[in-house]
Amino acid sequence: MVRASAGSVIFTGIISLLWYSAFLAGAVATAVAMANPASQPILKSALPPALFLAFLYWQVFPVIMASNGAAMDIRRLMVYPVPRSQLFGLETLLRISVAVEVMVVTAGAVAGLLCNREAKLTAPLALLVFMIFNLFLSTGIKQVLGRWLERKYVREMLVLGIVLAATLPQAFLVIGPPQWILKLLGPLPAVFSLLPWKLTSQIVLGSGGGKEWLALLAWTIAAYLFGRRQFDRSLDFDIEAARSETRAPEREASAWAERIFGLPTRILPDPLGAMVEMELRFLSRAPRFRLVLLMGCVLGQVLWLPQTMSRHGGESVIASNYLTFCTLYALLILGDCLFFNAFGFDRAATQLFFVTPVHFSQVLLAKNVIAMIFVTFQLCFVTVVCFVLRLPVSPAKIGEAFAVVYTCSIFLMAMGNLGSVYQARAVNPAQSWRNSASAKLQASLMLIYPVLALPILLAYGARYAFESQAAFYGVLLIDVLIGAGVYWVAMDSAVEAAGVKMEKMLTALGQGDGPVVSS
Amino acid sequence: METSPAIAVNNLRKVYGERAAVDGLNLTVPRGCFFGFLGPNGAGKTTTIKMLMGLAAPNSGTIELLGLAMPSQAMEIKRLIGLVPDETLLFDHLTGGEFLEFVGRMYGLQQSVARERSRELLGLFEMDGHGRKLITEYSKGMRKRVAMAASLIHRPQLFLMDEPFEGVDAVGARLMKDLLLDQVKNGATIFLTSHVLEVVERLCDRVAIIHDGKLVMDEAMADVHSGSGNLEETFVRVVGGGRTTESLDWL
Repeated sequence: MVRASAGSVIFTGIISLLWYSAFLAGAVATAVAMANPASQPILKSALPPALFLAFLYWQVFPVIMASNGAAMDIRRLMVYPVPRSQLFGLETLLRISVAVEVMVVTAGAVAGLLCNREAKLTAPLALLVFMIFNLFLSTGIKQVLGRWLERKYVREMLVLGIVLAATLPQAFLVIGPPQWILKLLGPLPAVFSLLPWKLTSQIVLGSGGGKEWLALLAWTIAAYLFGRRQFDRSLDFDIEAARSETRAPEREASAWAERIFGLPTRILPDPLGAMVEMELRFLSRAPRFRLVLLMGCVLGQVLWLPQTMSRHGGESVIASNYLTFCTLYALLILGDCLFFNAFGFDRAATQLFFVTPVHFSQVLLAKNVIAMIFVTFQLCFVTVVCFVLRLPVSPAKIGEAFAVVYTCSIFLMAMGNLGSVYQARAVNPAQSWRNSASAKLQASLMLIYPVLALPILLAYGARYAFESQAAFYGVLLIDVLIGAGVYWVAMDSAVEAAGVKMEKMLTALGQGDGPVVSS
Repeated sequence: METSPAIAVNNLRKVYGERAAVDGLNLTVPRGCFFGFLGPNGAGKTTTIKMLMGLAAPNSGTIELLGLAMPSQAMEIKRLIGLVPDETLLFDHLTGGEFLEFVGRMYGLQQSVARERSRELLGLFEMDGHGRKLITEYSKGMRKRVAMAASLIHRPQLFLMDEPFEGVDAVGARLMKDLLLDQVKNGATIFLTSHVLEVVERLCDRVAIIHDGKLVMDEAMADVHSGSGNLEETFVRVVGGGRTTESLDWL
């Protein structure tokens, strides 16, 4: 097993401390608010949406981010004589890892309620029951989605549907919901009062009694039954059968797919052409990558589109640079598997690059070429969507988006080549739900991305200062030249580092998943 | 160059932490030899073969393969050797055919040649019915067959194989053995590790045993047979085995 270095542990510890300190501060603020009887009027309006947010954070955000906390590989544990109920208990407890932040703030709320002399003794208990409801529900949802995501075409459609559904509220807030939806929702307010977060709020604020408790407990029992049922179904689920149902291995690969796969070889000489073709085939079949690419192409659009289509958003910065915003956001999503952990999906097979007579610089170059192919793909995809939606995107804006994204990509490739060697981490390409970046890399990216954004910000600054598109492209050209230099230096460093750190890199990439994996 | 041994290792040492996985190994493997490299679990076999493959850097000592020095002439060496490592080097979202073609091209073969050889090798290893399946669907034995095929595609002079028969059925193992013997007849050298002593005994001309990172035996197979009789007895005697389960009351 690869041990983290002391520096790595300290670094991760500091970042975690900073992150959780923010939520700790939130917990303290919540505790103070809950402990103060004078806060009651504010809490009456703030508590239901706050609990609803907690529910969303626990249930929906992990799905959108395709990252599901610590999880058990149940199949590996099934060979041992452990009762299913215990396995279910373990799996449910692991759901805490999905929303540790929510638990911290809730603990603050509970502490505040205990200090509030006017609060009923059952008030903190209601919060605990609400947390338990979320744990059971999260377990069930994870199991359901885990099974659905094993089916090839269901996976992509499901994620697309979830992402679109998750952004509907924002879209409605900005552009207003259609009338037919308002009519449909008309009679629902009565039903809303029976929702778990509403019931919990009522009990916590003292306006709920026996009926609310019964309803909340019914929800919790229903969540338990749902979670337990889905867990049992997952234990009996045949992954291989599900995967083979959506695959026709003996079918001839379609002619157009073969033509596309063969394109790099027509343009690039071997071994570069061979490696790029291999990457194209491999990544297009890897479920995890297909999911990430889909999210890269779609997520940015659904985030920024409501702003663009709002009644007042037409002249906003986002609207006038919609294409650039979407494609830069896609770079963030694609960055981990295309740039910063380029060998993640290859895992132990990365050894092949070290035993064949191919210079490592050519291997990194091939990784960079395939990254640019997919970056270009998502650029074109977003552009086409803009035309379909008749968004105001001019040829000049398209050119600007391409120029900005390609300039950013040069710096990303430079940093990514180093990251792929120094922070290599194995990623199972068949697992759609695992985060591939190490904690240290994620923390590093929080620093790297703002720095990488500087050259682009300078270009926009020049355009604003001189009110000139020529100034914008002039600065961008300088950025490209600097980027080329940075890329060249980083490539040399990465190749040298690979020679020195080869064993450590290959050991990290050869790590398999244990029975409990963290994401 | 043709008179130089296939493998010449001098005082090789590899340390992990405070433990020497390989401790002062001296080994010479002549060309055209079928060489078995044996040892108990954790003896240093895989570490040795990784250093020969260039996947691990020794702390001290020298390695020469086919008269070329590792790592200074690593690129030339890599063109001449074929590898079947313990962990397979397979890209599991490629088909067997695609992977073989890719490996061929990485070794410098033209695409058409690589494609043709890939097709022929799949036929030779009785994998042509599975050529369109992704490697991720292959069984362990099928993966070993593809790995073996990949080691052959560029017609290397030296084969380095770590447990090549592990997980392979009897038919596949027989096929692989015949192929390897054929390669040796054509002048190639094979250096393999295996726990299957019967196979090593039948195939190998020479055998060496490593124990706790040190070479404890290096003999011709004929001498092993004329000595203690069979390889298993020699192996157990040399590595000091013989613990029985009688010491555990509950077993």
